[in-house]
Amino acid sequence: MELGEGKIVEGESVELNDKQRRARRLRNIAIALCLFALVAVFYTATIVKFGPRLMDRPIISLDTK
Amino acid sequence: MSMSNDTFDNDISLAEPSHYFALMKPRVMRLVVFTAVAGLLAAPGSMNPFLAVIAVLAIAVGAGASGALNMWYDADIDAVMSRTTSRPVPAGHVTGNQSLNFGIVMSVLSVLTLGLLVNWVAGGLLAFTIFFYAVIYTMWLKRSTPQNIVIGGAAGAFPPMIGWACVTGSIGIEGIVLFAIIFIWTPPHFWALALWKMRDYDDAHVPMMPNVAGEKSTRNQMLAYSVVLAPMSAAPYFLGFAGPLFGIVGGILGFVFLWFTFKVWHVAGRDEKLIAEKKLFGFSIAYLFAIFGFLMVDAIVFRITGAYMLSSWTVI
Repeated sequence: MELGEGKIVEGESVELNDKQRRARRLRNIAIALCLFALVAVFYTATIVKFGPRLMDRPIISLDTK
Repeated sequence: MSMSNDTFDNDISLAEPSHYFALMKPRVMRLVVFTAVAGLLAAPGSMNPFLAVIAVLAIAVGAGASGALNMWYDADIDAVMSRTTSRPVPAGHVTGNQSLNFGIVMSVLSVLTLGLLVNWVAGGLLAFTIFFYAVIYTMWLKRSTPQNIVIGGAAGAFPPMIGWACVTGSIGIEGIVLFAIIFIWTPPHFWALALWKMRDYDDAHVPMMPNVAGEKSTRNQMLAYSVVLAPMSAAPYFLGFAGPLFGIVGGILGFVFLWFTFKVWHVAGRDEKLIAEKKLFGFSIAYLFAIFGFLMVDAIVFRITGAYMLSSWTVI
């Protein structure tokens, strides 16, 4: 594939056959799921590790001492 | 290594997620998860259940990553052994490079996840396990010494120790005992297989003990390891991280293992079908599941009731 003036030069692009398209789609879905799982794991684990302390931190301290 | 035409059409990969999953040796992963959970439950102290699940997943992915690295490096010998020809790389579903990249990415992700979310003792141990399996065992020992699986077996023995480290943040004598059970179990387990797959290993020029030292010496060594394994099976009770019932069951399992190995030693290959070897191999897998399964049950009972099974016996 060649990028010239924003168009694809004819005859240079690769036509995927059904098997290739299926394999690529499955790989893409698997990668997306893994990335999503990783984000979810780190997000949830962060909250879990903070625990109740997450709610224990007023933005403005009311302590006058 | 020959690549079938199924792999690529016009240099475009046909690899599917299931092929990548197969690179992670799911059957080995199952045993890793099982033993890691046992180590995690048997360890003193508590851990957030969500983090415990993440820890086990990270250990499983790390073990899978080392499997992928092994399949990248060993593709040439996997292609000549009947047991391994259908693995993704020799079968032509995934290229060696894809396997290598997948292994590296998964190794980094699993170690970082375990280190950042659980603790760095566990993360460091997982990194060392992957290094040990991929570099020390696969690249170095497997093709150079008949002691390959003895030392390489350490890689498979680390998971319960990592599980223990996840909870306690340290290794400890208890973690080392769990490690030792699998470490000592590995040679008789693997050599039982090697005795009837000898020709395969010979074809692949992998120096397994029966091919190098001979069958007689292999059987003697198997018996020696089993003699050590029998009392070791009850050690968690004597060290106080399992109850008396575990001590009894573990001891029985250890001695049954010894009995099966004794049969292999006694028959000494006179039976051409090698039934004793096959029976030992089958029992060895059951042994490991049973001993770690029982350790797990005992640990759960302890966590619920505050006492191990039959622990009142110690009072009497």
